[in-house]
Amino acid sequence: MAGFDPQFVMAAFDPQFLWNGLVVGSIIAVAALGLTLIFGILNFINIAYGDYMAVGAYFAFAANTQYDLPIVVAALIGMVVMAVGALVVDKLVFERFRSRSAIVLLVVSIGVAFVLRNLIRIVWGTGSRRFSGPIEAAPQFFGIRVLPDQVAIVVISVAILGGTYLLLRRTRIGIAMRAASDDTDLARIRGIDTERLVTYVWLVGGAIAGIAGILLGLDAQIRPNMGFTALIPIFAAVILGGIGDPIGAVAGGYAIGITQELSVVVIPTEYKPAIGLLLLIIGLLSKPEGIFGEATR
Amino acid sequence: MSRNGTALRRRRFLRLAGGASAVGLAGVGSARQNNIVLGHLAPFSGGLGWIGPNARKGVGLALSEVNEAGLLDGRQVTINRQDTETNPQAALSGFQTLDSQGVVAIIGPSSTVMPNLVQPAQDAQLPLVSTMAGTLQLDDVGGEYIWRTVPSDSIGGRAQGAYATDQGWETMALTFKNDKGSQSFSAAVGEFFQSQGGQITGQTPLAPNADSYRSEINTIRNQNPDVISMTAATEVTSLFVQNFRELGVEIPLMLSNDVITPDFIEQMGADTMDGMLGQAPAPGPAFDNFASKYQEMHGEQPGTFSGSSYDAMNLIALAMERAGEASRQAIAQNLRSVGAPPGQKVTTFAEGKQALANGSEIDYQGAANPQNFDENGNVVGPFSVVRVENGEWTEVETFSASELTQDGGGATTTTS
Repeated sequence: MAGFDPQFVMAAFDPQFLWNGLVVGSIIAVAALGLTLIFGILNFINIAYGDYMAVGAYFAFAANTQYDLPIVVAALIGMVVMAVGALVVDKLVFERFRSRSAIVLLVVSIGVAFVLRNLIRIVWGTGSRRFSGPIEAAPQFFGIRVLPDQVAIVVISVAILGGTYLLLRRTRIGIAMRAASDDTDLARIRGIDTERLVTYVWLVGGAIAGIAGILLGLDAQIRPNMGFTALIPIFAAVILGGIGDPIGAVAGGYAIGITQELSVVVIPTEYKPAIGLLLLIIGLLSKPEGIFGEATR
Repeated sequence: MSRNGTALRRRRFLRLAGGASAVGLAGVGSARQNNIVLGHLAPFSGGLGWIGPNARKGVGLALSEVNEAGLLDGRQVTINRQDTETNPQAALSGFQTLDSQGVVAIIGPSSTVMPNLVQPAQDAQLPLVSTMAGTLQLDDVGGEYIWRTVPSDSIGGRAQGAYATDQGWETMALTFKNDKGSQSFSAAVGEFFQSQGGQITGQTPLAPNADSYRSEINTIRNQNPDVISMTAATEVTSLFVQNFRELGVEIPLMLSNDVITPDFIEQMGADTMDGMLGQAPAPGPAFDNFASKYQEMHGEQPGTFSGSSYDAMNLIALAMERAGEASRQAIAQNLRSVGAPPGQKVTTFAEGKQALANGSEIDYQGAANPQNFDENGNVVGPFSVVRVENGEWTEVETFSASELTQDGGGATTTTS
């Protein structure tokens, strides 16, 4: 390598990074919301969640490109399939282990993750896929490239977050969910049917996982391991926000997405994925109870 | 070839191999006298699983020609095939299996696993002829037991650098998937471009499994280079190209070997790929004849590394024919003289066998490359720079082997 001096050049600040961060943050926020809801009620860390995202994306992909349905319809199909799918996986697998410790459930969920990921590989192959639609240069506003897909991602995620907020605050089932999340035994004593709640939480959590996977596929590509590799920032967001705290998870998601994308201004791009973890460490050191503490549960 | 056919052949082979070793153990050498067993170690699964079948079909064509013409007075050649799974550990155990079964040479695997097999091959004194490893790590280690029938990546990288210089581009940004193979190719491009007076604006590694490369592309754009050289396998490249187009970057983009395929254009769309640049080894002197025979046997056009695999099988057979015996030493000592000049130019095993029988030296001219080994077991050959036009990779300029091997020399080029 004589005469060849590697020089790693960093980027100057560019509002584009902020927009990119908002898009990535929206996806992480939605995904983190679903994960934290499931955790809140069921009290175990579901590693298969990332693969729920991938399954949702692949079903939407199949509906979109193999059956030529419009992307909106395809996305709804992906969501519904994954909502029901999460419930089916629970009935087939997790329910049998519910009385066991959280560690047993965690290990079981790793197994479920492998099975789902490899089923995807068997059905759709190992290569990367895209939703139909041409690759085109994005229009520019004030020097920022904004893709229509990205606008859709930001808008849809706000809608999902708002909808879930209303569900948790304004409906009986949502209030019951929050109660159970806070203290399952107490909720049961007060007459809340926690088993029915479990059904609802899988449906809602599965649908959110599905749409998060679809948004991710829309922004990037659809790959068998897309959900699994996305898990780290999602977990970081959940933990940063305080485990089981939906609002904290959403805030954590945006924080990690935006920080991660802005980080390329000061560090080489290859270290970008480490930012989520760095933020997590800082968060745990300074606010171990989560961004908002107990207040927003 | 159908899956069933392969399984059947493999089963039959296992029976043969089992029989041969049983006979060997009993101390009777008759089965060995008649059969010569070669190893074929290639990726049939894992990341590069798609190129193993191309190699198998290339070897298969040469094998049928060798057995038809008759090697060493009509001894049959059989192939023991092992899967590297694109994984160094699996490749090593495949190598050990072949070594313990006494194969006389191995038609070898890809860059991912070749570097780990260099020492074992030298220890076993077992000739290993890779048909797909371009890695720079092999540039200086071969010539005795390590050979390859594809040019080093450094040559392809030089074609990129030479083309950029010819276009009058003065600055280049390098970007590559963050792995050894991609880094080494990218470095070769950069080194040659600098040796021609060009300037590198920066190097941007791309993390595999990322969800977007937009920030990286912005970083590169801010460097304001005249051209970008991007090195990665299909997965990373497809996402990079998608983001590159979405961000409306207008800088010329040069891509690396793995994606210079019709499939990649089909996957990305002809409009997206329009104007993208790449490079490919120019077909070898015997390519046309090879391609039509391949088409007849397999019902499709030769794929990536089909030609180099065909050449490797022929060269190994010719080396045995020249030595008059089927042994590891005989092959190791004769590979260079059947591949490189001087000698009568031949393009098939049958021609070579005839010439050797007449007492001539031979110079095998391959389907993938002229196959003139240098002292390190490397081959060089002309490289073409190609550009996507109307959904097809179209040759825009060809650099001769001598233009790409002289360091720092003013590149004079032939345009075709």
